[in-house]
Amino acid sequence: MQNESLARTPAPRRLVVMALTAALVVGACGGSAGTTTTADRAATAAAPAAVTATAAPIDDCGTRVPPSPPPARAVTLNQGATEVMLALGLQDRMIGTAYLDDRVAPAYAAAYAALPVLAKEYPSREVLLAHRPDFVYASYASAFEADAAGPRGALASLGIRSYVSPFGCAASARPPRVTLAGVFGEITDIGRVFGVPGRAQTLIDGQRAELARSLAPPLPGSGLHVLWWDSETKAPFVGTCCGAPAMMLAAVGARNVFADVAGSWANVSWERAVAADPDVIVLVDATWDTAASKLRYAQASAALRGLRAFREHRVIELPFSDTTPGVRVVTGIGLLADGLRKLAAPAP
Amino acid sequence: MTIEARDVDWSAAGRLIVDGVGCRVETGRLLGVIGPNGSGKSSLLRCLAGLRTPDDGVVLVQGEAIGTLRRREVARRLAFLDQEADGELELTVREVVLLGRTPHKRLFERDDARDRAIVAEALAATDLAEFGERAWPTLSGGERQRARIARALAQQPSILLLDEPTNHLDLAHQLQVLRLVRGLGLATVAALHDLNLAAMFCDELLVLCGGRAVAAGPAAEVLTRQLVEDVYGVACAIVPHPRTGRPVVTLDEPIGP
Amino acid sequence: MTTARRGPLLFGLALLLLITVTLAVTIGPSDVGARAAYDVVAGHLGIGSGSSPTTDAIVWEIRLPRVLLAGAVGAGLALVGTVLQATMRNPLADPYLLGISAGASFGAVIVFVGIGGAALGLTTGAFGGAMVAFAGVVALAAGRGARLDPARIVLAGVAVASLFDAATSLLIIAAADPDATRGILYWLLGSLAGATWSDLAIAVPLLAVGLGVMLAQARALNAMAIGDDAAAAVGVDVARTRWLLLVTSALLTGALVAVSGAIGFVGLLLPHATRLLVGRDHRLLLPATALAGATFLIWVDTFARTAFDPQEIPVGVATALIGAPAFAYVLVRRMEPR
Repeated sequence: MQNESLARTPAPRRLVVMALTAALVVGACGGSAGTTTTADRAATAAAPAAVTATAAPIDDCGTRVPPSPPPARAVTLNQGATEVMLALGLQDRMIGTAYLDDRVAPAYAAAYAALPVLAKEYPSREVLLAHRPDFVYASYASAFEADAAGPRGALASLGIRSYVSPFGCAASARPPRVTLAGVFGEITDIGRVFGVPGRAQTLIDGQRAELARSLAPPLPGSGLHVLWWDSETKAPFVGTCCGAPAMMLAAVGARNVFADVAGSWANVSWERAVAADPDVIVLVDATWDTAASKLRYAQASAALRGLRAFREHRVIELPFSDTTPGVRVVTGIGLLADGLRKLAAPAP
Repeated sequence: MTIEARDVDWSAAGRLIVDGVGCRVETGRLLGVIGPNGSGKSSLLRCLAGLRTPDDGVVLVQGEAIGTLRRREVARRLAFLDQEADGELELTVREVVLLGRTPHKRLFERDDARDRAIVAEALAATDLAEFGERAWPTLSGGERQRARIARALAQQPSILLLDEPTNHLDLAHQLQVLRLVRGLGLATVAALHDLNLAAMFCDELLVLCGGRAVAAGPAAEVLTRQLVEDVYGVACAIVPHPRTGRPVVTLDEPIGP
Repeated sequence: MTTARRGPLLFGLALLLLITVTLAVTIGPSDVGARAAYDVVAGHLGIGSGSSPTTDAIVWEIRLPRVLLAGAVGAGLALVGTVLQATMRNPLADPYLLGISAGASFGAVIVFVGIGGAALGLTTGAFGGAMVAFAGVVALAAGRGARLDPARIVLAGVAVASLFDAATSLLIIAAADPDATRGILYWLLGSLAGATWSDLAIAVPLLAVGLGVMLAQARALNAMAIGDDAAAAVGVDVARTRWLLLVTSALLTGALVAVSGAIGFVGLLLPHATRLLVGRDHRLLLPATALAGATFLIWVDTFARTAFDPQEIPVGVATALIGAPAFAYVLVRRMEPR
């Protein structure tokens, strides 16, 4: 009658949790950045002189990427990478894209539409190889997991070169902070690989000019305490010290409420946010976590709706893809600066 | 109080275990149910206790069909001693015996001095007066059996159903328990495997074989050489007890190879 | 445990809980300390002048509901664990035995990935999933006739939980954005972040009702320890009692999981720990476990929200981190020869 020995077997739920944790650790959005050899080179390479195709190999996340010959069948595995390529006008060297997060920037929409989409997220190794690429470009190291493209070394042995954004390396190889120098360094690298250093320099110059316009003094964010709310509600995922959000806020001269927390983003308690009483709140608008839903949550929450920033609607909405390191981060800075200026303008 | 079974059938897993058995026991009478293993004694007792629902026939307690009574009401009239082991309970003997008071307590009613007195009496009657605070796992098989009997006594029933109450008990305690049970004067049904004890203590015997009642009546009438051979498959000699005159069954092994 | 000691013991536990609540409200990642916290509470109770809106929001809308919810969830899960361990006669039983947590997770993930057009709230989805899973367990375990055999329930629970867990994993892999996955992970591990007074409005009444029903069955629970037949022999309607307790447990657990995710370990560990302290009489054990569970989870949640300040770790992670060594200690104590 007694069944005390009937042990309950551990349910697979623990495996679910472990799998998710693993996925998060590996595939975390973006990373913190700092200066690497590529960034150094970018900062000092002011001369737009044509670099010969037989220049020294690029050091990318600890892997050497020989730039010659320029690839002709490139596949991009993340939206950031896709947009860098399209911004450099390299769609004729591409045979496919994958893993779109959000809408492509309108400027690249036509070119994007003309390219085959290999998968909604990462294609499997088999699918990828079936397209016979000669270059694989991703924004995050998760693209080179076993269930995605497979390790870079294995691709190299098949003659396929690969490149990962320096901000998306594995944690140990990742630069400590996201910087504009690093962002431009990535564009320069790709320009070198594809033998179009001139285009890369033009693009960078154009972005610098755009920045200069957006950030004409006085900096619109100076003296302002800003909360960067990326996603989630109960324990909000916010921009912290060292990722793209931090860089963007620093660029406009604003102070980040959570600047003392390590990493690019983190889940925090609303308590700190409420105590800081931010002057402005940035709401990131992604298809899976819209700015509208964030506003709804804030209105429904007794703790949040009393905050000055929500009461006076001192919020700025930014599209998600304008807030990750890539060719659109400068656009994002521009939107942020414009938004701040509008808030500061006296009511008509 | 009277307990009666009329034509009770009970089957499990497609097999008929109790087949058309009937009996009737009144207050003050002790009925012994005997028969080999698998003859349906335990199952019959469980049907009498209302723990199993007969497929056919009916069990009546003081004229009322037991199936119509609520469990609590049944437990106030009737106590059942289980043959099966309780396992490693982490209770003290007193706590186990106190459980016997459950059917008499209303919702949220506390245990009072009367309950404690009844428990103490039950422990004394089963020779367990010093065992109150002992932990159940430290008890021997026989001590546990006596504690279970004490729990049944704590219920203060009018009807007592005992499934192999002498299991695990040494001779002295076997006799003590049966004497105690007789002395209570309740309507009692006891399944026994020892024919001599059954003959010694019971007013009547009910012999089961293969689920059917093959004989019923006073021991002197029921216990015959033929019956023992038919039911148990052993040869025996039956002699009258020198003092009481009740039948004593002795095995009759043939001498020699 | 004689009646005489019962009162003072429960009073002591209640006092400990009160102190815990009072202290927990003063702890947090912002600078709001004891004085400010008490000013806010006094203001709301009408016996003081209150505080600035910011401080008020922090204490009254963020900290206090969270501390109270932690208490309610801790009490409820510990209570259900105690009841299930007794009625299943299985020391490894916990509130998620009946497939509740797996079902709730599935329901929550469905809402997360937007099936149903986000018409359902997360709480509703989770509760619905929990009830569907429970119905599945009952259907599997009840079989012919309504005899709910503990062994069958446990096995049915494992089967249903495995099925829903697999379905949840599949849904996450197939449909969810990895960015959205982070939110799901938080929910799956259990989190009290963002607790509101309306969460309490769901949890507290159900807890009160559940406690009442379970206390009424305390004697029956005591009797069930000796076996189904023996319990029936002393007057317990085993089938009916088991049904009642299972349904109550499922409803209470479903509601708690719906507002706080699947917080593990409380329901498994607290009954054993409390039993060591107060014994096995459920008339004392049930209220004691509820109080102990509330106190435990409040402290663990306080740890979870302050230890890695200002980052929050899901409370389900903290309960396991703290609960596992504590459980090991309890096990060792039980295995010591008496």
